[in-house]
Amino acid sequence: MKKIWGLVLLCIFLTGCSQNKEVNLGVDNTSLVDVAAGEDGYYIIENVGVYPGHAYIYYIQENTLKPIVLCNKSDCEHSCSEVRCSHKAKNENCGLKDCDGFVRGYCSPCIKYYDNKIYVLLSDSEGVHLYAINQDGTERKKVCTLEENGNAEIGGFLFNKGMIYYDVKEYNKTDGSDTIKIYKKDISSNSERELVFEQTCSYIVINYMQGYEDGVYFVYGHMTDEESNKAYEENAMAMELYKITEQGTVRVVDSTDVNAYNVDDSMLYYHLSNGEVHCYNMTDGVDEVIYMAEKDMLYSMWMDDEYIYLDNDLGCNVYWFMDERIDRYITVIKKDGTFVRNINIDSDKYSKGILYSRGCDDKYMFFTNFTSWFIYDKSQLETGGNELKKIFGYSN
Amino acid sequence: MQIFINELRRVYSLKRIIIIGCLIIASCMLYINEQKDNLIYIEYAGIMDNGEYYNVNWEEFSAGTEQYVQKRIQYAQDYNNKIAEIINKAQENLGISIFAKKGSFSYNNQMRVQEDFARIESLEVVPVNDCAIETFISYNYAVFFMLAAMYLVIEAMNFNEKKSLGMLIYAAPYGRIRLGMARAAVIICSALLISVVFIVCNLVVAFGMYGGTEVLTTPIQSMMRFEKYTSCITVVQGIMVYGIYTACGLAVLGLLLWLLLGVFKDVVLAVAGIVFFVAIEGILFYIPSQSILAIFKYANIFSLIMSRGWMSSYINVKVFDNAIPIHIVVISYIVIVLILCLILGIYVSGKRLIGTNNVFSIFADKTKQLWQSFLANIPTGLIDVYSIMTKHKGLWLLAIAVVICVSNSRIGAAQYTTVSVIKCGMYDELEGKTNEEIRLYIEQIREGLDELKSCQSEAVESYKAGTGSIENVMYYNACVADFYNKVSAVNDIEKQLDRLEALYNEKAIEGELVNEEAFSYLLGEAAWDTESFNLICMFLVVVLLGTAFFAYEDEKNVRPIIITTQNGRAGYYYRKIIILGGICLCMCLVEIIIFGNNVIDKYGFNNGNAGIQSLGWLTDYPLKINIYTYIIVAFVYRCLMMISIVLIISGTTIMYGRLISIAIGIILLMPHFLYQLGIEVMKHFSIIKYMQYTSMQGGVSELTLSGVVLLGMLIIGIILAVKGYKNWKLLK
Repeated sequence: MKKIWGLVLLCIFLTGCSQNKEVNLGVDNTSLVDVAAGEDGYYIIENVGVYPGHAYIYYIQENTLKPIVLCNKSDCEHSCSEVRCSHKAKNENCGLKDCDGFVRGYCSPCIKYYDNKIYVLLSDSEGVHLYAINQDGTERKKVCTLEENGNAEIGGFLFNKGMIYYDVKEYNKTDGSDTIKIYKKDISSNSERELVFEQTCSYIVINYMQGYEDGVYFVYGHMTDEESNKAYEENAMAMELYKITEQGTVRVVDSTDVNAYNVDDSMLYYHLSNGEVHCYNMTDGVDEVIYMAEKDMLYSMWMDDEYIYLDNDLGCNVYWFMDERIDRYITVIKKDGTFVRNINIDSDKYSKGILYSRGCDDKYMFFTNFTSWFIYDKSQLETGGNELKKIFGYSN
Repeated sequence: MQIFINELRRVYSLKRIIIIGCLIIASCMLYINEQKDNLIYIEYAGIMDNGEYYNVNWEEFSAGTEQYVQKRIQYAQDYNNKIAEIINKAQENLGISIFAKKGSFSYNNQMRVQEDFARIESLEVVPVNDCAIETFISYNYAVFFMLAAMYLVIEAMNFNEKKSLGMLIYAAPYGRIRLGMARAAVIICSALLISVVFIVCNLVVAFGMYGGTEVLTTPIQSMMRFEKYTSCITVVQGIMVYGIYTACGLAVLGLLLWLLLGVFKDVVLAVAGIVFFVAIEGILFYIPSQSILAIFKYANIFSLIMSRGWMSSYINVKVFDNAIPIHIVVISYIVIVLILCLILGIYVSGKRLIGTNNVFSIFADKTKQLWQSFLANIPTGLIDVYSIMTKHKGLWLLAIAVVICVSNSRIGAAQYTTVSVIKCGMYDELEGKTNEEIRLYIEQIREGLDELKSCQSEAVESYKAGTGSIENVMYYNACVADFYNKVSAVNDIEKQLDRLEALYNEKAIEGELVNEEAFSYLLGEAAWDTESFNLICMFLVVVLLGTAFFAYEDEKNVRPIIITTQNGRAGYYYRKIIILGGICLCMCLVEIIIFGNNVIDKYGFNNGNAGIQSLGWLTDYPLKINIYTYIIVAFVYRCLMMISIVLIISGTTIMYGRLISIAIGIILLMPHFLYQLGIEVMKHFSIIKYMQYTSMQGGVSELTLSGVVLLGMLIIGIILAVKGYKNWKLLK
């Protein structure tokens, strides 16, 4: 009898040993923010708006551009008619309890597609957790807990060579300053997270965290003057480009004015607020200005295989808050700096507020005003079209 | 067969049949209590029984009933389209790349949806009076009474306290395995019997209240709840399926308890084992349906005893990318677990475990060791509580009280009107705004209604002139109807504001605009009826438990020890009072958590720091305290009242015996029952109303009266307790 039990236990242990975990060492270098490009479509996560912390994951198929809730259950209405329902999982009358596309604890619009899975951040009283969801939404698994405080302010995250990088902002009550930290954590094991960057300042921000083969890049923005009301004045805000590598976190270019950047095959393209667009060859260290954009204009910068796109959405945003309006356009240049054309966007036609640029892939550029999503079909680049197409949203 | 019949006769003794009968009655009573104020269903049942639901004078009925009837008519009209839509959606999904990968779960699911829903695509559905079945299915607590009945059956098979009888059975040649098989058969038959009897009794009561027996022969899809049930069966067949699943759940739990009793030879450990099993199953039951362990969510004991949850949904479970219908998963679980429990139960029952070295005896020994070492570390006071609770069926009483409190509290929190829902939303919206801003908001809502009315008139004019569409008119009609509700809500809020301003002007008390809708269910009139049922229940538990604790005739075995111990009598007596007092405080705390949680979960809880006078019905309350403090005061008051009852019961039980003490307890309840029957003056003599505190509050005189009553109760309690103690000292 004992031998039989021993054999059974041995079989169980051997079964456990045979599970080899393959670690994906790929990089997610898509030029996209808050939208994840999957195999045949895109994923976004949108706050439902009915109850704080609830959201739906939507799938937008590439060929139809029609958004659907990521739920394959044909009988699911993706809504709940229960009066004042808090959509807790334990409520058996809640219409959303089995909806695959519905998530509780929505805390960040950041969504990523990596290693054939969708990743989102969801929070609860026990912390902020990273969840992996399979492509059709039918399986959801908590990968790890990133922060033990459920209200932690995680700005964004990305995957690079099997690691997750994410930034957390903490407010220091004593002096009113902010501390920003970037952590790195292995998603395939339960190893401790590693602090790779930490700074404290009165106003602080991490922008455009992107991963490439040689490391993770990000723009670190902070005040040079302690008075935050000078935020928009010249040189009040320093924007520095950093890179996280195995050897440590280093500053990439000797400038405090890097508004945006992109990397392609050891070539770093970055934009300064004096209008210069630089191309920096990281192999030989040669840095040259390839294009002169409008001076004192803040751009988002995106890139595909062929072109660089300079979108003045951030500049429009600044003017918007000063109650002024400027023309919205996207400047398209080749990688050698040759001007291709401007895409002029009639923002008022599409949105009552600012349309923020959320990046691009080979086919589309994405825009959102946080209630609706629009795309620009790049096939219009040839024809000179400036039209956006609404792909998601409640109203204009 | 003879052994089976003998066992059946032994298990179903007259005493057990009476107890099971009482459980059935309690279950039905609780159902009646839940349904007595269900106005919409009562009216709906009446309308449907008349047959002319399309030709009703709606002025005679509540607005909710009209909406419900319209909803049911709409449901029947749209049913076939809705099913067709589901089938089309599945077809469409197959055109979406992520759902269309052949062999994937999503793909298999779409195929199965098309196949399953095609069966009911052309089903004819009509509005029916299904109130009896609907309320019976949504009645949560019958299952607890069924479990209690099942426990009684299993308890009858515990021979461990009758060791001589146990030895006789062990000694019988070939008797043990046969007896084990007979007992397993008794458990399975009992599960079926209990399920059938409880379901039939509850259904009889339900049909007695709502009528509509003809629903039994209509397709189950006529009930909105079973809209997505994809088999073509009638309601009566559906109830039979429900009954079989419930019986299987009872049988699984019964066999498992029997198995554990056989292994541990100890009721407490066996019940602890069942609790552990149920807790594990409970955790698995609440895992999200997207988890890779989702199969264990459905292959679960809760899926059996709460089968109405999944029976009213359409679920295909992911098993290695296959879409397996949930009933297949559940049936597989039943077969596996039942067979496993049967084999192990019969084996354990037939095997002499004591003194052997098999896996069960080793496991039982180890567990007992752990249990004993755990008990050794528990303080003496808690051991007393433990022994008293297990000896006097205190756990049962408390469990029943908890079930009643949970059931009853849910009724109170679920009474909604459209306006109250809107009002709750407005309170959330208006939080933190000044009175001026709130008045501006109220004006905006009123102006909004005026604007909509003019748009409505324009739409009607254009439609009459042939330039506008009927859809436009209908749209504005709906908007205006919606805005009337909003205006009605802001009218109430405006009255509340006026009252708060008057409060400030007259009494210089600065009130706040708090969600009166929510607080009325927690502290106001809406809570009073609901909570008094909880309090009656708690009062009876204290009386029954107290009389059992202090009854001297139950102390025969320990009497010599108590008498001979130095200071033993006094210590024993005081310890009992402290333990019962502690149990009462815990009950009060648990009750307030259960009741409060039900209300807060639905309505939220804001503005706890606002003065208690902010609430309309407590404007004259003389103490200037906030809502939090008021809740604490009410809680402390209730606890003190409970303690006074403990003192009274302890004294009377010792002096006059158990039965007279129970009678005194019931006499104390009488004024409340008379008040419930409509004798208004009896309110002032109702101990339950005083325990409720809020329902007796008003101005200074009411507060003083409450204080005097409490003081009086405490003094009477102390006098009786002291007299009881003197009697106790004299007892031999």
